[in-house]
Amino acid sequence: MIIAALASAPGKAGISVIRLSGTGSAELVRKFLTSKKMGKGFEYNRLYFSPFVNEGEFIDEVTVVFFEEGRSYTGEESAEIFCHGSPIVVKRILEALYEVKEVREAEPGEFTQRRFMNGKIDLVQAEAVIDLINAESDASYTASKEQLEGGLSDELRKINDKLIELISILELELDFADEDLEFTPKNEIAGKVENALEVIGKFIQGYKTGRIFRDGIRVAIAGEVNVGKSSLMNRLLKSDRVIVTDVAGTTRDTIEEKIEVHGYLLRLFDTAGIRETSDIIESEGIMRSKKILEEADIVLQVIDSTKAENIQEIKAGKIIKVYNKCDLKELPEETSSINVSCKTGQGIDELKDLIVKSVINADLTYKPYYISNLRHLNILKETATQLEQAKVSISESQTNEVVILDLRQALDTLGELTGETTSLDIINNIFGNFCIGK
Amino acid sequence: MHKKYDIAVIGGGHAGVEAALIGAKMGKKVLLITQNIDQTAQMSCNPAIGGLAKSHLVKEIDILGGLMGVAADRSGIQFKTLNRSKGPAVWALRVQSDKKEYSSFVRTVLESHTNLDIIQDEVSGLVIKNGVCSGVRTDINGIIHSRAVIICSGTFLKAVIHIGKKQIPSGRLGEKSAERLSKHLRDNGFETQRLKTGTPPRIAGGSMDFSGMEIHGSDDIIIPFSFRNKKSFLRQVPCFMTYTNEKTHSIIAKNLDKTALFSGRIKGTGPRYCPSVEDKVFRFSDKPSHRLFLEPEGLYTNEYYINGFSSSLPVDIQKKALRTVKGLERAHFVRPAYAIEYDYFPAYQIKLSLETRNVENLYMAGQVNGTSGYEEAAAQGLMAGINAVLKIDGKDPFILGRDEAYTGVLIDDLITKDIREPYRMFTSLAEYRLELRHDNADSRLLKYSKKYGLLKIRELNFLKKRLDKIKNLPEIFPSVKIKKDRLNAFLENNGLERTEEGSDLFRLLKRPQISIETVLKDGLFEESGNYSYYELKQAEMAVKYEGYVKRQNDMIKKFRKNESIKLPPDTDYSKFKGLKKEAAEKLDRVKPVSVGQAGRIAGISPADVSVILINLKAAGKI
Repeated sequence: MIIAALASAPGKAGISVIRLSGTGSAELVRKFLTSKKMGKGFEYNRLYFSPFVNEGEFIDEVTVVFFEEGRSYTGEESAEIFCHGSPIVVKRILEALYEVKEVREAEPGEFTQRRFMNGKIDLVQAEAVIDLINAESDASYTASKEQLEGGLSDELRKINDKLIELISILELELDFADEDLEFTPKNEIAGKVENALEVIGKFIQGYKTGRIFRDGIRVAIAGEVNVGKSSLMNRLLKSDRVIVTDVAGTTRDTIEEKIEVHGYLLRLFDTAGIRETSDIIESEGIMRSKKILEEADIVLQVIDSTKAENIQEIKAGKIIKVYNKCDLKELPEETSSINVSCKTGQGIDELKDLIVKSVINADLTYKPYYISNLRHLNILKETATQLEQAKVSISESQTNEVVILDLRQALDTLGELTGETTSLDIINNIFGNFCIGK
Repeated sequence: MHKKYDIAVIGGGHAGVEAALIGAKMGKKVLLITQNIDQTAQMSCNPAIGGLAKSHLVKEIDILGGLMGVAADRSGIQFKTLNRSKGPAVWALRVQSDKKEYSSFVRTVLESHTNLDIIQDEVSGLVIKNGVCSGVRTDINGIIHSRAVIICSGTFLKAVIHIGKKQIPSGRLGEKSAERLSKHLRDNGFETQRLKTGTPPRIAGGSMDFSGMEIHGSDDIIIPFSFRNKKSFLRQVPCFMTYTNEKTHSIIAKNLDKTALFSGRIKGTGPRYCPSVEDKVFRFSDKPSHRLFLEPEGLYTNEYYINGFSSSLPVDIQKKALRTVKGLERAHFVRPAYAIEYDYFPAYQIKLSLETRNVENLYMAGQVNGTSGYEEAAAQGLMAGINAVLKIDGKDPFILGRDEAYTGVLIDDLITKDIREPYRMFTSLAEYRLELRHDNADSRLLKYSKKYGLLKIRELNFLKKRLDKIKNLPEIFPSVKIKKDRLNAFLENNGLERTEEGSDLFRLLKRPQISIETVLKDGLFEESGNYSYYELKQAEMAVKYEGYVKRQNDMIKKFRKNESIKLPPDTDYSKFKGLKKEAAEKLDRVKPVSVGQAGRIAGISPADVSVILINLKAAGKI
């Protein structure tokens, strides 16, 4: 069966791309093309320019490329049609294609699923495709690209192989329990388990950074009412996104916007000022603010520098104190405080710098252990727990079969990440997350 | 003799006798055809039953109504429990047997069983019509009809013995090979391949000097294989141990080109785990010596089996090499070591029931399926016998899971693994070995013995009662309180740290350093007299490994998930989207019964399994 779908984003654009995959897709598309050249047959991997005509009716002028089996995205014979980026043109071309008996609309994620099924990528790489498509910043792009290229898989496969090696050593000992062979001492085994744990620990630690690479830095703007939180948001966005008035409590709901700084996505959350209030809507907003503060990677505590006394402490992890209105009064700066003026824009660029540097370490390069997927994190955490159990078993001088049980369980769990353990749940989980045409 | 039987069994070796006996026990009319009735249940190689992982098979056979355990006990001249100080998965029993006694005991049991006839004859072909087997063609008795046929012909098909450059067509030294049956089956669409195995020389006891050798005798307390037996039956005799040395190795190394294997005359592949002495010298060249066990072949013979010296070297080199060994300087060779090469049927051709895929009502068991070892053969013979009966009765086959028995692991492995050398049972091959212990076969398999009527009512009741007692013990243990002073005395006796408070037997047995044996020795459990050692030991295991067994059961649950996604036998894998051609071919060849089994087929990757799952899902089958 040939599948077809719009592969580029829906809506108006300069160009839209329609992708087909499956044996016979090249010949099928060729029949719609009326340029003289097409009549003489075609070659793979060449661009053709031709009118696209359905039953005598001209639809669009398109560029087409055919890919041979084994050398396409999915691994099957494929075709890509580049037409004008009009939703009407796309619709009519797709309708023409779907009319052919052998063609049907691709299901969400089906192109990538076929790519996976043809052995071009493993499961972790397939997951990376989702992230790559959804990438919104350079950092996010880097992270998913590395994963797609097998960076994550390679690192994990090394742990996988280490565990297999350990298990084989212990099993060999079981098989030759009555022979006069010398075996690996237990403390050496424990040391190897410890090594594997260290590597996995590195991955688990890397999640926080990995998530930032993928999802951006969550920046919450907080502070007392009417200190200029929304003005700061607008300044950072360089727009008048948020309504600003002199009335305390104007911002009632949380507002989220995104900007890119040094290739990193900053997700800005303007929160309602926290105060006692009888207004139901405002108090709901305050509730949400508190949650945002908890989840933020960094909190910008906005302080009116002219009224900087008796400021209430904010409960959050990393905090930058932002002294607003420095055009009126400057306060002494420390490592995690800065003077800005939302009115003049003074200090705003320095603030952006400070945010990125406070969250990401000095070394801003991507590491393979910066995992960003919650599924991956949970699997690794479970693997670590099971390896810890193996360490306990070894220290209690439990016999081999018991230690192997611990290690096997860890290996099975890790296999859900490397693709060595397969189950329907895992597959549903991964391919359910795609959009049509990817 | 009848002209029509329910089951005809070809071959009177360890597989054949189990198949025939269980068939008759289950009420069918059975005919056993052997080339030589005097060689019934002959131990062609070592004079021992059991050992690591193999003893698990014997215990399972025993609970499932088989004969091997009983026969080993009856002919046992040395009983040894191995690895008692090691973990429960590797505990094993090995019994040295008097070969003649083993053979005659089995023969007597078969001869005295109702419904069971034995003839000495050779089978040249089968009666196969439209893919259904309905009998055998014999040289003397002509065509004999039967509703099922079980082939248990061991190493005899197109067998060739190699001793140095000498080649003798023979199924066992001094016995003729079966020249026609494998060709007949090839003509009927079966694939055969060659395998190789070997056996060491037999030396006259009087020519050896045992002084200065290590002596290995029987255990002080003998625990037999079968739950029916409580003691040994014959006089116990020891084995002796000596070592090869650098001189031995250099003679072998110099003559490697004269062995059949190394000079390429043998096309079959030999077992990796029971390697010939030249293999050991070649592969472990840095090891200056290897152990040799001298095992008596019986009480009324002076022949000794030289365990560890299997070889296909010419006889004069064998002699020269062995005579460098301490105590064997004047060794007299009664029978030389030899290698044997034979036809076998790669086991993708059989189903989990051991029935062949191509021909209905035809079963194969034992070395014809590519295994090595008496125990492996017997386990298959038993299962083939039971399944032939069930088939005749129109019932579903009896299939043991990998999570239930070593027998299940064995048969599943045979079918799914790409076997290039004789398959031998190993502990590492069983994934759930904390559950699959050699000592708890009854708790795992009793339900099947009951379901299929494999044991006598009396035997079933005995086992049931024993299991109940074991089940109750862990509930009694917490009520056995031990006061602080008494406990500390006990701990000190066993070199353990003192404690500040008392405890109970349950908590005590949870500790890895404390075993039921130490508890009994100290008299900590006053009621112990009401229980057998076996029952107490089983209960200890239940307590000690409770947590681990629970976790293993979680893994078993996960394992069963993919096992429960069934793949119908008519599945056409070539139609599966995205499945690589080689993968589809392998799946079409084996026709796995479940997604789980598909994943175990050699050459099928986890990604292939994902593809199968996605296809099934797309087709709305799961």
